[in-house]
Amino acid sequence: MKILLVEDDAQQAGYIRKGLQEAGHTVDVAADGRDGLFLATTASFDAIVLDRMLPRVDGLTVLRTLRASRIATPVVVLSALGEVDDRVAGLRAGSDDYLVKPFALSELLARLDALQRRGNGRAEAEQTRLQTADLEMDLLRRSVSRGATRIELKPKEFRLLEFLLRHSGQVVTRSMLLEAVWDYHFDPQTNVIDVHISNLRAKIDLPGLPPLIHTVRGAGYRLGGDAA
Amino acid sequence: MPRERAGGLRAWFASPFHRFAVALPAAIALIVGALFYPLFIEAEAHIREEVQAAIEFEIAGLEAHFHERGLAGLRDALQRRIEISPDRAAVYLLADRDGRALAGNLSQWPAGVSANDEAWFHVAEADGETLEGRVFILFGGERLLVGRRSPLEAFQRNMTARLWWSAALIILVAGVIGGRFMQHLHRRLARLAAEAGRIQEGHLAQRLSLSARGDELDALAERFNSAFDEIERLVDAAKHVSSAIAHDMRRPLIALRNAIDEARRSPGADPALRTQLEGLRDQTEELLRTFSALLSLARIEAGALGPLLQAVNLTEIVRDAIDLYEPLAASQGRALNPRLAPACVRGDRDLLFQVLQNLIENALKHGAGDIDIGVDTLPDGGARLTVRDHGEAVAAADLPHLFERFFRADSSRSAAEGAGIGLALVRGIAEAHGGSIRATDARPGLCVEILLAPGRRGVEKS
Repeated sequence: MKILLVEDDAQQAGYIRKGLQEAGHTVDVAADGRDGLFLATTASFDAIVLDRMLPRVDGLTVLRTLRASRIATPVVVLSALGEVDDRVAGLRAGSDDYLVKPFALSELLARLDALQRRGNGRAEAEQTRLQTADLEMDLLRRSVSRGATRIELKPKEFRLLEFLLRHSGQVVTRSMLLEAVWDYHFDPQTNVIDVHISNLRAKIDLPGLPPLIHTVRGAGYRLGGDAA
Repeated sequence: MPRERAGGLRAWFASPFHRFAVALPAAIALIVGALFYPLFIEAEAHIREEVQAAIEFEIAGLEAHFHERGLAGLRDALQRRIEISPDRAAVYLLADRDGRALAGNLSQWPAGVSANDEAWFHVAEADGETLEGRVFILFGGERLLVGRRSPLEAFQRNMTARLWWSAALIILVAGVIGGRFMQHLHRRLARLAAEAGRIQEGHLAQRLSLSARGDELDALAERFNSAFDEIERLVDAAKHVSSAIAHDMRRPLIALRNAIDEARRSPGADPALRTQLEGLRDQTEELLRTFSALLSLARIEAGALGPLLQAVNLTEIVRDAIDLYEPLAASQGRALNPRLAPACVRGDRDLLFQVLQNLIENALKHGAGDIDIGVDTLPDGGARLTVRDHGEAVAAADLPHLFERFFRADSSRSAAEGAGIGLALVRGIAEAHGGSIRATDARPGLCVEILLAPGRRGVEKS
């Protein structure tokens, strides 16, 4: 992915840039709002990571200007304080996702991946079946099966698995799951999501079959047939 | 808070108001008594002298008649006197030696008066009046009784009755005035106590109210208010310091966390070092979280979210929270028992969820047994949210401090988990919602109760 990073703190910018590059992305960095706006409007990016507090032109103004000039590049807004008003203002201004500093690099990477997937999926017809390896989910009949075995899931487990399936192969963080399945926005601090996942795992990863739900240390979970 | 009236009357008298309310009429009655009693005595003596003088005068007159004309003259004189002054005040009786009446306005010798002694007498009559006078034994053995019906007894009765009535009136009037005054004072003091109580509960912006009079109580309240101003200023300064530290420490901490992360991801690192670095990173993350929570708390307390409050379905939020935490509780062999009434409050959905998150996590971490979660509607349309566990009790002295920053009820209770911000955040959020929060000993366990304002008025200021 080609990513534009607009961040005025050089130390922070260096760290994010390095992390994104290590994950295989190409990164352009702008140190203030005006440069960021200029780059975003003149070159084409797959995603923009935008700090809210920027010198010269502030982050939300950059975002509004972009959206006003019909540039639909997915934007993740970074903010120093994850307060409700900030989040609402950010989403209203047209951001696709919102991250609170300090965030884990893995969280940013996971969210960028999810944005990318959402962007690609927009054109596709609404799916009615989701599948990874021998795990299948029928969204119309609301049924799940692994191989020939039918699996009974509780409503929340179903939505959890649906989100994992829609992002199969990607890392999904705990707060992404909380936002997607429960629709509340904050960083879950305990292992509360882990318990849900392990309950789900007990139903999906039946004994004798290769495990599908993998824990990614320091980041979250990944659904996929391969062990990597 | 109504204090126990353990000592009954003793406790009642312990109140200076009650003592004053009793002492004031008593003192007035005493003073009035001290003033009037000598007057009363004097008037009595005066009446007695008057009566005796009148009798002496009568006797002197009759004596003259007796000397001049003997018994017949005395009789005539008596007769004449009775005729010209038919008032019943003067009493005469001339009787023979056996006590039979010869002349006079008494039909018979009055009972209780000795007919054989020449002496002053003083007897009470059947109709309640007093007869006073003197008996003479004449040369022929006849007895002469000269007396008057004294107004003394009537005067005494009259005066006593009046004195009692005025004493009762004084006590009544003083009692009513004193009671009124005391009641007013009592009410003012009770209000001051209630306001001081709110300050003690942690509403540091609360002040004691002043009356328009500017009296001694107002002077005292003003003194206390300036003391509270100072306390509030100090507490604000302390809060500001903690927010400032949290704010300033974030950048170096983020840099540290990032550096650890980079080191962890570098390809050359050996697995043991990598595990160590991961542990370091997690600890740094934990610190950053604490600081973030502190900053959130500072912002919430500063009232930054006022305009964002809108009508939200509290019951649904509680249900979602239970849904999220049920498996975690079940993994510890514990249950979340909901008792939910439909309730709509004015609030922020995410923040209210965070309240539940903190309360449930607190109950899971520090409490024991099942956790009861209740939502009730209040008569004013607001809601009461309660979260209660069945674990060990929190010491009563600790209850009011439970919602303070960095407070831990018991240093031995899993101190590693949490920094003591969670419940402070809960209170901050509850108060930012215009609600109130209270912790009580649920015997067993801790019960946290939050009262929230109704959401019917819909979206405000948006």
